[in-house]
Amino acid sequence: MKLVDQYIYAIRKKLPYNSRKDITSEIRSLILDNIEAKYGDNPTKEQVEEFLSAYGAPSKVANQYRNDRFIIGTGLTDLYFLIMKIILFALSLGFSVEFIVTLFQNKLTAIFISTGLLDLLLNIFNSILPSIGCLTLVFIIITRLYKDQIIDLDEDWTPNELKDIEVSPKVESIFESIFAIIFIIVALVFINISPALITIAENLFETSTLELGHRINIDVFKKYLIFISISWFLDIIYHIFILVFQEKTKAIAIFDIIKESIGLIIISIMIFDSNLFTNFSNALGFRSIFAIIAIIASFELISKIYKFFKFYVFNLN
Amino acid sequence: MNDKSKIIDNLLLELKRGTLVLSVLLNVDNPTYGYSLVQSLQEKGIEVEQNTLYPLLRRLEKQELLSSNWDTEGSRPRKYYIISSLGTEVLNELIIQWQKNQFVIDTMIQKGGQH
Repeated sequence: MKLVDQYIYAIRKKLPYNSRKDITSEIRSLILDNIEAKYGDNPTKEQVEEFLSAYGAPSKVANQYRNDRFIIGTGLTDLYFLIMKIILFALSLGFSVEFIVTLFQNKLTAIFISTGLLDLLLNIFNSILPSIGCLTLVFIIITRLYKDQIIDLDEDWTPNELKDIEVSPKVESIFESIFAIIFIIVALVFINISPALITIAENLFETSTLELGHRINIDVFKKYLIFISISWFLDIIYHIFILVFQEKTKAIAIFDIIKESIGLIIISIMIFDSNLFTNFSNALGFRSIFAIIAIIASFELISKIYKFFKFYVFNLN
Repeated sequence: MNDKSKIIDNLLLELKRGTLVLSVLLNVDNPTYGYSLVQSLQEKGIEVEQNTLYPLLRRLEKQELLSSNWDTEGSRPRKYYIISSLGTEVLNELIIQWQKNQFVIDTMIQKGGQH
């Protein structure tokens, strides 16, 4: 019965991984039962061929056993690749701009430029892999969440099931999220690869007639980098959620409030950390910028909490 | 004519699909393996495609309406299915619904026959 074994082998390759052994054992048993009943104990090769061709193509047989579980939902695949392209573009842009800025800050020599270019390519390559990993992880989670949200109304549905559908405010424009992802990634690249750019910005400011009232202590600032990065990373995830769902569901609204609060807490701690600022004589400098950001973020947070209660708690549109 | 028979074939297929779960649950009160179930259904006049039946058995098992175990003692290992207590409860409910539907449809057919 080599032919049966080959047939089952062909089916096996297309079966769900976890239940391959069980399904193939069952199919084998069923096929042999059938052949025995139809042709007796010693069927000819032609008889087996006749039975197998009537039983169906291996892929067709295997398809009957598939349970359509996807790591990334089929409806999300296009978006997954779109966001991947956005991330690749933003990373390349971030590292390239950072490279150009560094070029202008240093003496241009052939060795410096060539090693810089090599570093640029290595940096882009090294950042792409974890980024794709994170993106994939986010989409796996979304696929699970998305699947739970889908209510099958195709068969035997009742209007009563509609009450479980959450009608959320539509997002005005997805381009805002696309630009936000690009901007945040470029900023993440900048701040992580060259925190000293802050000092460069300060120096540039002082080339004007104004004099800074304080400076950022880069060594202390570096300690905040991980928290700033996490906050921005949450921002990227939020915008990916918006792109996927194209509406602000209750869960996304809660996530938004949480990440906004985390961002506000981080910047507030930074403002009140006197070690972060050196040569303090007056407020003119990054401390004021942080304070302005904190004030804007506070208003945004209050507005988001207000909208959340208005829409989801009191159901006022 | 071809279109008509194609439409009838499709509608009959839908009818069969709708009753297949009920037919299977009614025939697994004793441990039954796939091939013997096909035979048993055929003897009772229910033609079923094997490729449809076996995945259905697995689905019913996953829904815990059937339980199964492998018998490795015979000439070849066979997976035996039997209705579970949950399956019996579901079956009883399906039977009640089936009888209601049958009564309604029969009544409609009789009324239609009078016209």
